Amino acid sequence: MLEIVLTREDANTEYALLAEWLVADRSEVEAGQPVVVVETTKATVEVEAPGAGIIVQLYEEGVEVELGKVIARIAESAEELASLDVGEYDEQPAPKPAEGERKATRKAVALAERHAIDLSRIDKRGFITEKDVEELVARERAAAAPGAGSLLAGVSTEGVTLPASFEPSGSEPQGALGALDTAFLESLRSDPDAFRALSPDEKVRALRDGGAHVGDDVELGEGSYVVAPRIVISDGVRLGPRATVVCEEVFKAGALTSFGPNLELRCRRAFLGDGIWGGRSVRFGGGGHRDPWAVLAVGDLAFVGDEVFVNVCRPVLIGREAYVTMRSLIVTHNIGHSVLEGFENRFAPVVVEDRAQVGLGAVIYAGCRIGAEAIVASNSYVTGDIPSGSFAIGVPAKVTGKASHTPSRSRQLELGRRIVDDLRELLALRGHEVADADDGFEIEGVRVLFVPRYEGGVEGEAVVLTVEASADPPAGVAVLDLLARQVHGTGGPVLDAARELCRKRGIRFEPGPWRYRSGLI
Amino acid sequence: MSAGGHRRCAQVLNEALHEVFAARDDVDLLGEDVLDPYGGAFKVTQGLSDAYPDRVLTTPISEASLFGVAAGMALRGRRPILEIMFGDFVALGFDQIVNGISKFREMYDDQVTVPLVVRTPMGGRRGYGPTHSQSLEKLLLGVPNIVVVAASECHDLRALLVAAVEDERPVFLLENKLMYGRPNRRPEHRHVGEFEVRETGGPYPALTFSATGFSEGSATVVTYGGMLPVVLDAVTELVLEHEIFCEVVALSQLAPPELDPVLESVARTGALVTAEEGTLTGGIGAEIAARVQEAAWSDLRRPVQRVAARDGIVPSARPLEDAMLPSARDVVEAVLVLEAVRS
Amino acid sequence: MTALATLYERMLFVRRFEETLLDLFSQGKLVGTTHTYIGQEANGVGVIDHLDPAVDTIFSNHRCHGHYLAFTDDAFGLLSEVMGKATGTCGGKGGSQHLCRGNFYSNGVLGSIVPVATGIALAEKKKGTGAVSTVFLGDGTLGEGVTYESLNMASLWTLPVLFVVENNHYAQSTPVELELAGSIRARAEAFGVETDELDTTDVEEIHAAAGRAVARIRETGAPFWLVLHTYRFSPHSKGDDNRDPAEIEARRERDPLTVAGARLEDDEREAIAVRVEQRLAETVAAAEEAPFAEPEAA
Repeated sequence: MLEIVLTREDANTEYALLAEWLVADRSEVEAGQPVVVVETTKATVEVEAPGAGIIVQLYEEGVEVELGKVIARIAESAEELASLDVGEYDEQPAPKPAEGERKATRKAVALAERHAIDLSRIDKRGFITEKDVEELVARERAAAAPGAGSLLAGVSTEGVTLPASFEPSGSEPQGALGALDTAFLESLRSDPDAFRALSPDEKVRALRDGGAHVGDDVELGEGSYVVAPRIVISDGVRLGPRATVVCEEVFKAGALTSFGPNLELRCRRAFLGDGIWGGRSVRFGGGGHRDPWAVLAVGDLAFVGDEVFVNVCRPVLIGREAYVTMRSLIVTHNIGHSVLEGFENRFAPVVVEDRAQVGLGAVIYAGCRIGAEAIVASNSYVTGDIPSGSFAIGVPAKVTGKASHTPSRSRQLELGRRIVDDLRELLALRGHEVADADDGFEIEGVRVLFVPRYEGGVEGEAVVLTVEASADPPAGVAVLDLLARQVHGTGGPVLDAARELCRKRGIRFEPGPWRYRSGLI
Repeated sequence: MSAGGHRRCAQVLNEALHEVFAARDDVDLLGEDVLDPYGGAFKVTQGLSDAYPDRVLTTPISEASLFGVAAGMALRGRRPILEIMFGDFVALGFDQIVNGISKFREMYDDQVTVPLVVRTPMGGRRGYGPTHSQSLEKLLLGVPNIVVVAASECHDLRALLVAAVEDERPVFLLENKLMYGRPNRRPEHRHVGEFEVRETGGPYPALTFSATGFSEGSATVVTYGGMLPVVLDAVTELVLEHEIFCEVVALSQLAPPELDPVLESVARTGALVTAEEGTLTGGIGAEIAARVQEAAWSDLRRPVQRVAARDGIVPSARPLEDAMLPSARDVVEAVLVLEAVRS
Repeated sequence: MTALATLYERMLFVRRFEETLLDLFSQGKLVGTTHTYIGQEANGVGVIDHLDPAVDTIFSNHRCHGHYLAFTDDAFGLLSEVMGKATGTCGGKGGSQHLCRGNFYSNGVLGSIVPVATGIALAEKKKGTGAVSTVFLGDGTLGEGVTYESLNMASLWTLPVLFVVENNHYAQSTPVELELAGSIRARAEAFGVETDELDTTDVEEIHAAAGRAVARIRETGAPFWLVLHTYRFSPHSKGDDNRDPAEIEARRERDPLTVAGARLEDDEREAIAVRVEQRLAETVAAAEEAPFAEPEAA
């Protein structure tokens, strides 16, 4: 098999025009016979057949071909010609996509997929936007029977790791898990005080008996009250005293999630992930909490500070390991004068993506999205989207820089060592006796040390901090992998003290990052 | 003949050269390797010396003097077009540009004119390395009394060239290496792709692009030359990925600065991003930013963002070159930063 | 009047004009700087007598007053220009080094002018005017690379350029031995350019050699390189002279005015001096009267 390649001989030319085939496709050609005329900006040249055979042309006349491409093959035998027919001849260059072919926005495509809408139905010059799809959906809704539709319509979940228990809006409930029987539900609704009066254990029993799914070691505090047509509470959940949970459709709380006293949670559908830590007097609710769009999702390991208020008349999605700190405020609607007089009337969802931080007393206005790992400084007022990884501050909040920078390996090692040094100093200040030891110190017969890479080899009672653990520790040794945020092995109060100090450095070990004794400090 | 029914930019320029040579017999062309059959390093002069053997002069490699030779010709009633093979080589001519070409008319009290055209390609992204890839227009921008025009693939290249030849002032018509092989994407029915395009009048018009019928926009991105396709890619991505709509102003006249279309656009969008392929410091973006804030402070709701090349060399290796030169991603990020500080 | 008398009168006028400039400079009546031609007058006057101001062109350098006066005879325009007057040849915008009138141009950057003069020759050749493009350079300009690029092109393209190299032995304060290697004449010969070389202050000798050179150019259309060894008595500009006074004195014996004046009758020489002084006084008076250049009203 021979090939005719358009050779590139000039640094400044990248395409050539295939001007004219001098022989018919699939005709017999001689070696050295001119077969094609090619035109570059530089010159017009005739290209000769490199050998005899049957020519199979891969491009039409009048086409611009990138230099370096094969434009024809010459089959030197019947077998070769046959192979070209079955295989490679199909390898016609794909036509270039026409200009503007991909003209629908990502949001429009996502929304169209959600509603199973064929975008070619939207006839429009220019880009197809989410608004165009929304308008089409609205027209169709108006035409069809009324219904709730997709509750998360238009809210991208990109950047947000929703709790595993989250039910995509509009989908059927996951089985009947936690569905309350009608009479029990009615009794809860009609006489909340009776439920509040029960002891914590009695509450758990009553809910289980009524059809709710309630795991082990669940604590529903004194005076607390939980009602929803479906209730799923996983192992180790704690709701502090005087909690009030009222959901119109479903309430789910993941394992080890806990809230302090006076929780108030009112919305249509609430999905709390695993390992969430909630402070005291947290309030989810406010105007419109019974609206069909009143959906709350809080990702695993998130932190919700004391006296946080989240208004849920439109979806509020809080990502995994996000921090919504003390007294911050998230609102999904405003309040004000008549729209007919031109005042803004806003109802819009809020998204706090994974590992984002909302500072003390910050306000997140309806429609805002805090990008993953972004930081909103305390007392800021956020009126627009904050890009991922950025640092925003002010009223209104403006991006002034990045939320983080990647430290070098050597800096990471230095910071790891410093945790050990700080722990030693802290324990000494607490009046504990500490003594020198290799790579760290010793307290109550337990060594605490930092090694860049743990590969075993530490014996006796020890707590080892490292940034890379490549071996399982023997009994008596606990290894804290600071980068993977994993604890290997078990330990006592010294381990707890190390975890606590690490937590203060933002390193939270899973599982249960919030819930362990603070040990010796 | 080529993609999308548009002719390639090099071809359009070539035809325009033939047109001006046919229309005026006082036009000459000088440059290195411009004779047929070679027809110039980028083939823009192809066929010209065959058609006009007396008026196309291939020259020694003497750029420093060629600028002066062209100036002398222009002083004496010819209208020379000087082709400088790579924009980088303009550096050799700076004495003539700064101390002669740009000065003669004013320092001789308007007794003379210097109607010459310098055509030269700027720009990288071809791996030609540090001395064959630069965008040096900002150096020209600081020279009074010359006209600096940047051609882009969406401009009427024929009209730009004809206007430059007709101009009594010295005109630097900056072309772009990548542009030559690309289609000259003129607006059709006032549209380029998804964008509606408005074009100002005058010899060196600006093009303003909008995907919203000029009704709304988050920012104005002002650019020129070889950065235009990069910026159009960026604003397309901003629409498709984020539904952020920007207006784009593609200038052709960089000097003297003619920023009315930019001011009009900023009045609609309230924010400005400048995008140029040259290095950042002392760049065209800096000049535009300064002038826009002087003229339209009240329209600006956010700080001006500049996108430009890193202050360094243009490396040859593709990944290094890509990292140095401004990309569509840089433009996208500049706009996203503006969005984030929206007040 | 004889040809010599005419040349002498022109030289004397240039000399007295520039001496007057130095006086006015001392009185603070000049703008900026000035580079005088004192001692070199025979070159400009001798060469330029062969040029036709209506056809031929001159591109001169920073030391351009002598060339300008010999070519345009526009003393008032020049004086008012260097005095910053609106009536100056360039309206006060150019000053001493940047003159333009008719076919005369000058510019202040050494070397810069040589390619432009070459381009002028190219344009005139294309137009078929038969013009000679004369460019005056000094020994200092031989240090500028574009000089040789231009020589190459002028020769390559057969352009009617008269290169007049006035070697006054000093580039500002640097003696020629410290700035120049090799032969001035052979520089051009290497490019296949015809040359001539004179070491004289005799305007008649220079006039004759320049006549031959210009005639060759008009005949062949090709460039010519005329080397004139000369000497300037005055400083580079003003107050910047570190040369040995004895050296200058020795040179004064060959003052072109003395050499040429010796061949004139006393009464003719005196009549010329009277005319020159009278014209100069009128020129100075008129220039002093003229309004200063002002920025245009905004």
